[in-house]
Amino acid sequence: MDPTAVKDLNVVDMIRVSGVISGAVALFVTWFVVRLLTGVFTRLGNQFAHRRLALNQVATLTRFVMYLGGIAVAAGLAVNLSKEVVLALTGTAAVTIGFALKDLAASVLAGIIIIIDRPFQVGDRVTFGGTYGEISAIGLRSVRLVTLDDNVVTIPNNKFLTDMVSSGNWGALDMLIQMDFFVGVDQDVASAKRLVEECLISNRYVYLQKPWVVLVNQVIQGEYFAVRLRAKAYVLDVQYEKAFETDVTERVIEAFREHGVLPPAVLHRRVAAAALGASVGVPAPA
Amino acid sequence: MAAGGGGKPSADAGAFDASDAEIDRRDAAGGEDLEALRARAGTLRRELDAVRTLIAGSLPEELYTTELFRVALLDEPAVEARRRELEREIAAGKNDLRRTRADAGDADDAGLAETKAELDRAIAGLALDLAGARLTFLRESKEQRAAVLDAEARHRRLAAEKEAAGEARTRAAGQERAAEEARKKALDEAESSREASQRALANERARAEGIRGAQATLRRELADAREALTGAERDHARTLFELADAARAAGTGSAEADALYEKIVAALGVARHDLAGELATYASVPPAPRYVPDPDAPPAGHDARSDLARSLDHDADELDTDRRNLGWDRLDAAVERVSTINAERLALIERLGADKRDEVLGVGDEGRRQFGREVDQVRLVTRWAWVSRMRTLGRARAALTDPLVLGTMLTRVLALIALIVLARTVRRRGPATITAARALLTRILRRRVLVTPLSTILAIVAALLGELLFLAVVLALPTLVGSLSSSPVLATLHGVLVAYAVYRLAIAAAHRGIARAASAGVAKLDEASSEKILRSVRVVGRYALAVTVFLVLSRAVLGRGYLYHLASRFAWLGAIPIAAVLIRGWRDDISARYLRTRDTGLLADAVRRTRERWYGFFVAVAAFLVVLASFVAGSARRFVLSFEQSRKALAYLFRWRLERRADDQAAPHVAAVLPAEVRDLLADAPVVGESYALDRFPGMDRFEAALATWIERGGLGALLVVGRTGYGKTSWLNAAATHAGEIPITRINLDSRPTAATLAATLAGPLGCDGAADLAGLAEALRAGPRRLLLLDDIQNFFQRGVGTLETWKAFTELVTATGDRVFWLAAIAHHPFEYLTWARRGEDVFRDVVHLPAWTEREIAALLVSRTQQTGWEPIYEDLIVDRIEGVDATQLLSTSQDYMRLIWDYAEGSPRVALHCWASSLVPEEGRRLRVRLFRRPEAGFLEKLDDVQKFILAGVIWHENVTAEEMVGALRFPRARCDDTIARLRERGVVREQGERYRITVHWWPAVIRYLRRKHLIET
Repeated sequence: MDPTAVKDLNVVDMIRVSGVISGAVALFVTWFVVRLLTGVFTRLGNQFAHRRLALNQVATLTRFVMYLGGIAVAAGLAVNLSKEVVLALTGTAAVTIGFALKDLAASVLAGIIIIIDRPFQVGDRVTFGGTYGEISAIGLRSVRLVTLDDNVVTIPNNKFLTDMVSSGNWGALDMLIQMDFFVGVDQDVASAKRLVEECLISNRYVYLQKPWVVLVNQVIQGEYFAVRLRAKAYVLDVQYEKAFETDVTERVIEAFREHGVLPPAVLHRRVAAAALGASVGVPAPA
Repeated sequence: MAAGGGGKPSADAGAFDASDAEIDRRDAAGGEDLEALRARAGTLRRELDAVRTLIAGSLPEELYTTELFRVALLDEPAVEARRRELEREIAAGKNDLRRTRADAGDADDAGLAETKAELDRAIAGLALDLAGARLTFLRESKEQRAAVLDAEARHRRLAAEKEAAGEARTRAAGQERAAEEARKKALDEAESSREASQRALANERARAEGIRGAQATLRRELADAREALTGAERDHARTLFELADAARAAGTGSAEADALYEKIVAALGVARHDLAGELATYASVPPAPRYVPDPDAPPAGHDARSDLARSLDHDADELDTDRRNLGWDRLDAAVERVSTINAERLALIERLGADKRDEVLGVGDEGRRQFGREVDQVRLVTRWAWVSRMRTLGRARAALTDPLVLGTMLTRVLALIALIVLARTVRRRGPATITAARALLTRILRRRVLVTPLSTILAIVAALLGELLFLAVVLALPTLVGSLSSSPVLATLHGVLVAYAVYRLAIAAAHRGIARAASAGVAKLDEASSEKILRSVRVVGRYALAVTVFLVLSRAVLGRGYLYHLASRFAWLGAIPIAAVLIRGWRDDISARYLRTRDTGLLADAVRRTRERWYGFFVAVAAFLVVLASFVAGSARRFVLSFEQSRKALAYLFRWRLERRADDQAAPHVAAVLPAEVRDLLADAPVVGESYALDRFPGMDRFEAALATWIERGGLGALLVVGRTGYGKTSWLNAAATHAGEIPITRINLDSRPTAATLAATLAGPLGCDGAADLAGLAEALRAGPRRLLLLDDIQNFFQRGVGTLETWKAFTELVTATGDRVFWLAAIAHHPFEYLTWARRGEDVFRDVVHLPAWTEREIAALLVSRTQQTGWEPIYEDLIVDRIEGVDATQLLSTSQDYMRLIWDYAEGSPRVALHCWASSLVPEEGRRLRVRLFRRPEAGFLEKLDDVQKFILAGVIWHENVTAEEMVGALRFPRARCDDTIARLRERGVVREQGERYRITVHWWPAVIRYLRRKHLIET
């Protein structure tokens, strides 16, 4: 390397005036193309719901590559990057990134790692730091997560390198849903279990390609002993997660009411038959 | 140095003397140091010159690399360590040099110190230069260093030989002088002898001494010749080393490479000339002078004369041997020189510039000269081989006396015998072993997708076992016999053997392949044609073998030179006469094949007219090209169509083209009214033994076996038939009734959804058990009745999604369990309800024997449509579907179009015969002459489905999930409001998506494929 070339570097000389405009145009074109592709992939995902997550993954990857490529092209156009300049700037850039933009750089690198390692994908239902929701975007800097109450949570990518994240469906449309129902220990558990099973398997959102199960356990619920009926089945699409839970719960409540299955309560209770219907899910008076 | 003065000694004379002595001592010591330094500088300078000579591509005269580098040049780690050491030396040397230059200014002893300092600086500079030069050389590649070592070893050997030759010459000169003196003395004695006998004896001795002198002269001449030979060899070695170095340095395609090639060719010409001379000289070596005693000489000292004669004979023998050895060494050196230069030439050919290369390897003047040189080379090599034959044999004989060589050879022979025995054993027992291996694989793998290709591979191995073994033995020979590279003759023979083994394998593979094709009827070949093809394959194979053998031999004798490249480049020309011979032999078959596929057109007429004419050969060539292209296209098509996804893609492409053309023409699709006889035969209703019904009932044999077993042994009789809508479940049950034999048969079609409470009543009537009030009663009545076969269709109506809705199914299964030994329950169920049932009940079911009706294949769908259409007596016309119409329509195009359309229907119908029949009937437009014009059927407007909201989507899925459902059942299953369900169903009915049948809704045949695809896309069904 010619040392004089570095010594003579001048920031003003490095900038190409015409290149700045071209670079801005390149960035705009990149943004536009990314928007266009995102729209296309979203529409395709709606059309082919069974491939929605795969299409999301492709869209994320494409977006990532296009943004990085667009920035590189814009930089190449706007800045006179001769070999000497690149070599000279490498050290400076490393120091700058190291001290000033370390979080941003870490996030970008973490984003690449997320794309490669795939701890989750766009469309996955994840829990991160106590927040549960659906991944709506994986960007250069951050991941966007939409909670079930429709809040958008933005999490820097580098957080995922150190903190634990759990994915409920990990790239699949279907997802295991677990629901607990409690009945009194003096109730007909076999009947209650059968009712929960029937409510579970007759649900319109249930996914038939994976198994289901209802588990029975005795627990202390609040101040009472209770029998817990834990129903596990897969919902056919994560977007129906809450609808699935709601429907199963409604069916179970209705079935319990019809068949006189009572919730947990202090034992040796005396409950009027008329009060049975209203008491499901609420501790009955002793 | 200070000068001493004379006169009286002064007071400080002692001190002066002492100082003077010290100066003298220092001068003397300084003088010795200077000498040592000068010697050191001289040594360094010589070493530097030598290293620079090596770097320049020549060998130094005096110093060897061991002295120059003090490292084993081929030991990479050692060389690397030495390189690092030299780098350190260079760094330190630069410091020394700077220091000595700085010290030069501080010297207090001007004269001596200055000289010493200069020498120190010179030595430091030389040492630095030497280290740099050494480092430069050590950075050369290992191959280059090896070349230097080789040249150096040769140089050493030749130097030693030259020295020995010099000593021999001196000895011979002494012997010559001694013999001459002895001869003169004997002659003097003869002159002075008084007696004739003594004179004769002296003369005889003088003659013998003369012979001894002649022998000594010859010995001296041989020593001179040997010395001259070593000198010449050293010169040649130096020249070759420089040539090789220049060749390595010349860049690919450079002008230097081109110029060097000419230089090498010139050197090669000289070397070949020398070799020819040596060959001539070697063949005519005169014998050494020998002493033959005069028989007339008077007897005297018999033992002394005999000893003399023996001694002279022995010397003559030695001289003859020396003379032959010298001749051989000269010859050997000439051969090696030619080989080395030729190797450089061949290596350089690959790096010549394009023009030069074309010139050298072309057929122009230079090419002809190259050809001439290579012919000369062949001649020389042949003469050399002939001349050296006895010597080679002698060497081999001598080697065999070495016990180690003998042991090695014995081991290799035994290994060879073991290999042959092993090959024979494998050949004998191989087929049985392969059969056992196939059986084992089938047992272990079980997966057809793996077993089939592996079995095919094993079958191929079994069929070609002999040829494969031969090839394996030939390939294994170098491993057993040892590297063949040391023996060019054996290596060449091995190359020829490999080519022959490959030839055998290729011929056998072709033969077996043809036989297989003939036996499978794929190629419809008779035995004679098969043999004819085999002969043709042999012709081609033999030509390929001949070319290969020629290449192997030419490479062995001449290297990759002119002849090799010529053969490689122009071997394809041989294909022309071979093709002509083959086409001539196959002319009739080609013509017949062509006319079979294309009986009209200009070429077809020409083929017909010229079949008996000699010039018909040329027409046959054209016909052959067409047939070949057709075969290749057909094969490619068959290969592509062997994959289901490819067929689907082709079907999609065909439909897309048809639809695009229809859009272009803007022709409105008008649903045609088919004649009654056509409509009846193309109806999508289940078949009941009609003559046109295809005998396609998968799993029927299982039913027959199960029924026979049940009749004979009793037990639970239950079999479930599962299939998608329109796959033929009802037809299957109808066929089962005809296969059931004499057993009484009852059939029940469930057109409503009974509850557990109404199940007994639903079944009791059709079963003739009207008295049964409940299931227990019904079971009792059935058990008391005759053994019978009960056909139950649509048993998906025994359950639905919902709480408590599986009770009917449970009751039904209890009834089956209770009566299964008296009633054989043969039931049919739709695919999606069965899938749900299996999942919900987790495989817990009374129907352990289940027959799944698979989708119809493309061929079966085509057969169904064609046979039904033929039954109508109307002729389908496909002309409207031809998308590549240019001018006129031929039979092949029509056939291809009909196949494409059948594939399109199969793809759209998802293998459902009912949907296929519906589509086919929708495609037909009757016209005069009992012809049915085939047009693309109209698909339902799938965009309508895309507009459905979530609730409507689930309601549509609900119909598929249950196969048939009422609005009320839908409300119970999906828990949507009744009004919403009614509204959606009404909308679906309006668009023809569902149809109502006794308050139950089903997907219409027209919409079924679109709905299935839509629900799959929406992930509401998986299969």
